[in-house]
Amino acid sequence: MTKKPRSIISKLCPIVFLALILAVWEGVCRAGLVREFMLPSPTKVFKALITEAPTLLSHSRVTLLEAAAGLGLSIAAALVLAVLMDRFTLLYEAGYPLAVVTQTIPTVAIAPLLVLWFGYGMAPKIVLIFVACFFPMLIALLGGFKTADPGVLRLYRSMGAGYLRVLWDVKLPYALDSFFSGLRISVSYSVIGAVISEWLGGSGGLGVYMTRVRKSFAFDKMFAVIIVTSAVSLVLIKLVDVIHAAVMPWKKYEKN
Amino acid sequence: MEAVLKAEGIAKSYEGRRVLSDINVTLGKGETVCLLGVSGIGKTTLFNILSGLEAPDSGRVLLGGEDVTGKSGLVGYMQQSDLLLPYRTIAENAALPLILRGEKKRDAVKKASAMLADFGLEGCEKLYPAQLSGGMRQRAALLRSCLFSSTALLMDEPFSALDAITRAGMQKWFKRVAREQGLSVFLITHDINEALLLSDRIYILAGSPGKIICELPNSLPEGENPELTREFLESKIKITELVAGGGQQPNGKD
Repeated sequence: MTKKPRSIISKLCPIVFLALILAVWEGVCRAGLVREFMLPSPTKVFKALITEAPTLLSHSRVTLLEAAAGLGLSIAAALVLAVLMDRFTLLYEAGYPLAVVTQTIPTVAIAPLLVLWFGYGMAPKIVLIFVACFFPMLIALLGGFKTADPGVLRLYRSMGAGYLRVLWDVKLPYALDSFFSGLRISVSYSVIGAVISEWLGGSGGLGVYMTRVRKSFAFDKMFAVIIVTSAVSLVLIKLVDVIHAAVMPWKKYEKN
Repeated sequence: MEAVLKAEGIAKSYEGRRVLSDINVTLGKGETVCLLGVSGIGKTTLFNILSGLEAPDSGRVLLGGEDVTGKSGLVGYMQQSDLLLPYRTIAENAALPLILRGEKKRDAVKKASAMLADFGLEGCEKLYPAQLSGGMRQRAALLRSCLFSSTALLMDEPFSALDAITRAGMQKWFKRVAREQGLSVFLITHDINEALLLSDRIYILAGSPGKIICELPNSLPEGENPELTREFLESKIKITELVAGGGQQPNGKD
């Protein structure tokens, strides 16, 4: 019982702190210390958020669709490649350094190239998201396979189980934890990747909207769209956590 | 007595170093036999060979008279840690060998659930391993091994990871279950008490390379606390001397 007030305080703490920052920000704007068009006040941003809600929603839909497609493809590809790399050591040795290189490519730099190659539609966006998300997923899965208990692997071998059985029964379930921590990263990468790729053109998406409002110096709307982008990422990360807990019901009993 | 598992002239080296040399052991039907020896002497290597996980340099392994040298998947093998899958329920874990054998999951789980009571795990079928105590998990692991092979069971220090009180309880329980189920068990231990309490016969593995330096029949008087009898202590002293003798022949000749 003594624990409860403590946890309420620790949850309230960041909210109060945020409110404080917003209050200071509002005060600074109202006092005229910063020029209005440079930094809109929180209330202005909030108003923009309300009035622009339908527009933001429809743009979010496009961004989410791209993110989902890119992320889905990267998960599928990472899964296939991780299994092959786990099964064939040679492939691991050949493929791993290449996978590292894909991660070092600055997405902002290749985005214009992708537009050149794939046009202004969804394709370049999905490719960019794929490149951004693929590596964390691959690493998560490969690392996850390695967490499989060697004793259990030996037990399966002593019972005469084949690779596919071991993969399905042991390696994949053991990799779940690692997979979900990779997914948490990839989900936020996918949203950021989508927004960045939309900066370069297209007809819809939060990035397209962002470019538009920036060019018209509507900074209140700019802040509004930033908030929406963050919110989308946060909701998705939370969703991953919820799914994580749901597919691993045994986790709640493991205390160590 | 009919031999279920037999090893003849087993030798094994790792990187030029001889670990085991000329090992001959047999396991009779319904018998519990202990392989006793200090840590690092090659007990687990011998078990890996018996279970077919490793191939010996020479010698052969016979299961029910058939040569199974280097063939895995035939003998039940239980290890120090329970190796239960954390994401499967107890019934699913126990049913694993049946599922691997190609039985339908539902039938296999039903069959395993029916046996849980015999292993002191009544009502645990839907629980996850993390919800059970160490002793109970080890019982589930034993059930899984029994469902894997009814002919012969290898147990590599199965109770050594448990605390002393749980271990004592498990040893008594195991002895009863082994008798009830008619198990033929080959058990590794470095604990002389455990060897004396559980086995019908004891092999002592000692020396470098490891050899079976002697084979002792073991018959303790029946009763609540056999470890408190004179026979127990006499046997314990004898075995302690043999194990400490490290490869010396019991009659003094080398």
